[in-house]
Amino acid sequence: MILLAGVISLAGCIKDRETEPEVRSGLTVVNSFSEAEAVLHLLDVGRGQQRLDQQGQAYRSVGFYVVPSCESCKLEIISSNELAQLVDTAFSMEENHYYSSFLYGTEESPRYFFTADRAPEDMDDDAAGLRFFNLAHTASRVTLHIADEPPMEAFRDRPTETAETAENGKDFVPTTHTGTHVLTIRNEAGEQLAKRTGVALDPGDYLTVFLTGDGSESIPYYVGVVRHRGVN
Amino acid sequence: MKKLSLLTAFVASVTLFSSCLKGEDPEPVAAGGMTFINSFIEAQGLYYLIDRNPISNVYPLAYGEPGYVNFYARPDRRFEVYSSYEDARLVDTLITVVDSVYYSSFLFGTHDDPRHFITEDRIPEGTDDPAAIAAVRFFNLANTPKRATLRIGDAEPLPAFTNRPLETPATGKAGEAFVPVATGEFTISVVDENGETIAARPGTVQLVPGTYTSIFLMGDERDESTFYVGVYRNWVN
Repeated sequence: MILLAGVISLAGCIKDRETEPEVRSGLTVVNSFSEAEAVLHLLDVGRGQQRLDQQGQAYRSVGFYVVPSCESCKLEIISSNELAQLVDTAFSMEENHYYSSFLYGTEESPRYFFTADRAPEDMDDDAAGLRFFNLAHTASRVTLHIADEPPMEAFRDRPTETAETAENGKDFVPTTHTGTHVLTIRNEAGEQLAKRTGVALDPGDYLTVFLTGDGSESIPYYVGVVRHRGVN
Repeated sequence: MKKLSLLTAFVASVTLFSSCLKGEDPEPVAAGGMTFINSFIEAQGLYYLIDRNPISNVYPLAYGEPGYVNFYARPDRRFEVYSSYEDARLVDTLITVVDSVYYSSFLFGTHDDPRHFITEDRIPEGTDDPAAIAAVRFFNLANTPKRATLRIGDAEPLPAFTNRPLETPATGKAGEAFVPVATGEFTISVVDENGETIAARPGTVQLVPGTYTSIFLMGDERDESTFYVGVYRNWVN
């Protein structure tokens, strides 16, 4: 008797939950917007807006979210400072692909770009992938130095990103110089703006390094490091 | 329903336990033991990994706390240590774990100059009865230019424990041997090259027969209140 009841209730469960398998994308979110303590990311994959970050995402932090894939996803970014709308954009995210979202700029001129994170074509097993963005509020052209080596071509004399420079800079550059590194970012005069020690770069790692801040005491220059969960 | 689940359970247990019933004698596991001394004052805690896997009891290990874990004995195991501050990697090295050997990992220094060494923790050579002696070793793990001398009670400081600068990986390893000392209960302090006390351990320390004790100066001169005498009784072999 009990067995029969069990079978009936189980069948009921199965009927109600005929769900489609969810297709997912990975989204890394970088907040380099220094003029607010935090921002809120609202993503609409076609079912209404959902908050990506439950408590908002603090300045300088990096978040990672697994979200439903969508052909026409809408993203709105709201500042914690008087709830100003900073970004209102749309993009597509394919199943099992990884993307990154970068917010920077100022209240007066918020800036934003979105990348599809692709692995370089011929990556050796012992190579890592590295890319660099200048997301700081600065007039300087900055260069990323890894330890004491001559800086890589792609990471030299970078002004604050524009949509065009971000498009050019979105590819990961392979490097076999793996290990644990001190990263420094210097201006055109060779003066060090920021330093970060102990950055682990192992074979198979994909890192985005970014400069943030404006060089003031309250918002010093800072070297951000994003460790990508995946690339395609 | 009850009968059904009992049958399932019986079948499952027979399947699962059958390997135990095969009559295998348990093999002793080849393993070494490692003590972790965290004297890295610039971070709240450290994260230790072996072969890229977190070591659960020391993930994280708070500053000033000791940890201990057993490792399978294998050659060339990747050993990494990360700071809780910005996930900075402080150590990335290969270690060989030998069956029945006790090791200690000492991590100290600063983010700009992280320092680390691993000792083998051994009964001093030629010891007739390890349970009859007390032995001590001393390290200066503090961020200070002062040279540290270990005072045990009223005894004249041993040369090996006199005027020790901040350890390097080489000097730390060179100082790994335990030195037999008088047994008893003593006040312990560390003084500088002028005889001024850097730190005194509150209370007394029992150096009883059969104990092998690591004593180390911790702290940072940027805040003299952080100077502290750490004491840890090691497993030895």
